[in-house]
Amino acid sequence: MTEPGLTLEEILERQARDTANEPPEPIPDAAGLPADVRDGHVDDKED
Amino acid sequence: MTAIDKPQTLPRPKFQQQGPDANCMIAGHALGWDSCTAYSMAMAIDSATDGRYTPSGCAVRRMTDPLDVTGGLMLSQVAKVARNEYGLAFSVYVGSQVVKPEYVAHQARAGRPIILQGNAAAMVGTNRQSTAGDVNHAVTLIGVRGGTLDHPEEGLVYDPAADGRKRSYHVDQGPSWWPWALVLKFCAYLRPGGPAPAPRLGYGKIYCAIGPDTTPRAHLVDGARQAHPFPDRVRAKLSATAVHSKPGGTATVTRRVPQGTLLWLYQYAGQWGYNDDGTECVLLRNVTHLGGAT
Repeated sequence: MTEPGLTLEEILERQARDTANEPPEPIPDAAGLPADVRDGHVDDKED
Repeated sequence: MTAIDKPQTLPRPKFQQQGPDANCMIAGHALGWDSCTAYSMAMAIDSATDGRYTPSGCAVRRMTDPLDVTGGLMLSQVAKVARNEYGLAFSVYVGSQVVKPEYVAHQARAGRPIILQGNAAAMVGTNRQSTAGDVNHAVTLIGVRGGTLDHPEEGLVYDPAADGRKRSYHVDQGPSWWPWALVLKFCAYLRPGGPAPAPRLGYGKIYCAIGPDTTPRAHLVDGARQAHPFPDRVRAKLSATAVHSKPGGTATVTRRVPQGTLLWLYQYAGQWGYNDDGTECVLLRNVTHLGGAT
């Protein structure tokens, strides 16, 4: 953090890499959400 | 090649458009517009392997096991293709395992390609619009920039429907930097239960598949050993420190950098430190060691 010469982007990337292997925190109100979500048919009929 | 005074960035894949429907024909089924998840995974595989594997989105769909030619796909199906066909571990966070936006921001900043599920209605009326309206969709996030660790300013999004086609509405041409607020809106607009009137997911949760870390990479020159830590970091010690195209005298100097310039060294050979592909090098006695990979 205090090392001179690093840009803000470099500092943020270092911080992110330092914590990247930590597991995500559970979200209590996510219980019951469906797991199998499919994408849809994205375009209109203008083809 | 990465300049010796620049950090490597997350490999950017080649953009793939999913449409039109005929872009993906499998067993007589025209699946282009139904295959955003497959095309998003194809670009994520391209990024995660730094271009070593570049399957088309249709090829990813063709590799689903069992083969699925009906409607859209789920993240778990394309993550299985990445694992079984390319040895890539994508962590799928769906249902009760969804993650917070801050987690996604950290992972993207750490160099991991991420497939986001959301709803294209979020982009309608913006310059990032890619469809006519409200439909669940998938895009690939390849890095973030600016802002803070938890709240980046922008994300680089590869939306496979953003092919720049002419429509009565504006269609974006991807890849594009999206305001982070739009990334969050896209994810929050997902309808996990299917089309309207199923409710939207809402803010604070994201359905996604997070790819492996795109670790730093180097092509070693003859006789070189990989730096440790990787990459190693040094600072230019002289007021005009010479950067060479190869070991040698002044004839090989291609440019000079100011004293204190941060340099990234990926390999060493003798008294020289090199960039990632060996096309730039510096004399080690002309730099001050810092250490520590970033």
